[in-house]
Amino acid sequence: MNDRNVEAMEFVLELVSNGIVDPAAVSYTTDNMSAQWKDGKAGYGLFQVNVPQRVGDTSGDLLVADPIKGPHGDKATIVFPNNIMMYTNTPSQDASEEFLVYYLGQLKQLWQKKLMSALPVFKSITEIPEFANDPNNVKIVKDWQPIAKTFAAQGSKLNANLAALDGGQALNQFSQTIITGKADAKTALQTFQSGLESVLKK
Amino acid sequence: MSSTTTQSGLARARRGVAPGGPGTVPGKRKSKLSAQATRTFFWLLLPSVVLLVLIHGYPLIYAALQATHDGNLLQTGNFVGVQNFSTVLTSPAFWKAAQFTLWFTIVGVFGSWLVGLGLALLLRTKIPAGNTFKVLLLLPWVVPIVVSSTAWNWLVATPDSLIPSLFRNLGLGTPLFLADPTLASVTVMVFKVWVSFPFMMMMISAALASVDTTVYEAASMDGASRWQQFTQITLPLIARSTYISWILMTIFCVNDFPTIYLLTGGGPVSATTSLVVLAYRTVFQDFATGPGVAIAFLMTMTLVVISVILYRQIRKSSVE
Repeated sequence: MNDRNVEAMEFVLELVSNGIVDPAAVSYTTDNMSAQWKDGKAGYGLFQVNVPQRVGDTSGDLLVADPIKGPHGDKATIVFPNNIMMYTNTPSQDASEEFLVYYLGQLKQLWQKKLMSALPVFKSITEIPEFANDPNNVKIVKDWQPIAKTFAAQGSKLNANLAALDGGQALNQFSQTIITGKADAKTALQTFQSGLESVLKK
Repeated sequence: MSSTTTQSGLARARRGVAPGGPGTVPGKRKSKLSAQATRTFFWLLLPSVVLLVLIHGYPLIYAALQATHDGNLLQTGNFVGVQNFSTVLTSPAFWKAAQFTLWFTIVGVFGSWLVGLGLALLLRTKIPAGNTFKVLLLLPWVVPIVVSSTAWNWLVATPDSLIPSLFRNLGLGTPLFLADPTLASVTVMVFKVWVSFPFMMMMISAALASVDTTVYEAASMDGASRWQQFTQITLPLIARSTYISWILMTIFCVNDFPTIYLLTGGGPVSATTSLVVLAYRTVFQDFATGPGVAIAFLMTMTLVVISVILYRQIRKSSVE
């Protein structure tokens, strides 16, 4: 926990206390959130790249906003990469590598056929018309991707507990505590830190 | 007629005893199995017993192994004795979940029993389209929980869902049924009662069907009121089925994962986290198998104790 964490959470708590954050959001499923976007109940939000696809026709009313700037002038957002893992105990390392190269070479088709709405890893895919014709996609790549960081951005080494850290009870509890405004920023962050530390000790 | 006469008449009615006296009670036959018959039964039962031990024994032993180690989903880890149990028992999250589980079970068992009993008694009377109502009333139990929880979510999740809108239009504010910790707990319990009452209704209907109607006629002749007939004939005569349904529903409630998890995910801020949800989260979200399985073990032991107590009640009610 540091001063910037406290400052950021105090900002979120201020949004909560002013009723800017939907008080029911703490229990929303992804479908509930999509419904709120579709019904025009959400004015601004941090959601997935594929919001328009999830929500359906919004007649161009759903736009990617500029990244907001913190009081110290810094900008950031969070990104969740989906890794492709190749195991060392595969029956044939060569065949696995060959398949991976083939698979990565075919990825473009997923965006060309509009079967994939996540952000592509390859720059070449961001340049295909099916992707680049959507101004929201262009803005995400241009303005948001450069400032995006993962949960592990501060880490200097691999940690096998990352799944327990980013999907565990501590994070869940922390985010719900903040959104319901049930604790002040420092208390919530201290509890969160203790929860993360107990996972790391395992 | 004095109340003493009414009471004795009701007691006689329950026992099926005529005013003239109890008549001849047939003596109890004591059956003694020969040694050979015992051996035969033993060999006939053995395959089933072996199968049961294999089916239940292996996971139980493996679970005991995990509960006494500090492993995760991939590795068993080091032996830590009862440390996982002490960690769990000193954790506030465990006691908060235990408290919620207790309330959830009490409301789930007795709420569904009361609704089921009321409807079973109502359906016993001659009402038009009674069988159609019976089928319709079974739907909450029959419909897959994924479907019904989704339907309930649509009804209450957002401020613009149907039920909050209804409250708002009635001038009762906009209750956040799944976002407010207290209301979320109440909503989950009401949902559980709604899902479970058909089971209770069926159990009680079956028990009521076996009650001889002449007992009520005898009680009426002795001057018993409807309330006296209900409390002193109906309830005692369906006591056995009631205790069985309580045991089953207690087990259903304590072990209920989907009802809670699909509606609230255990939130907000763990307000609806029951022990089974906590065990799941500990094992599959924190990847701490030891404490998670220890929670499951503690739940099992508690359930066994409760079941034994209620089972004794069944035997007691049978003797009476």
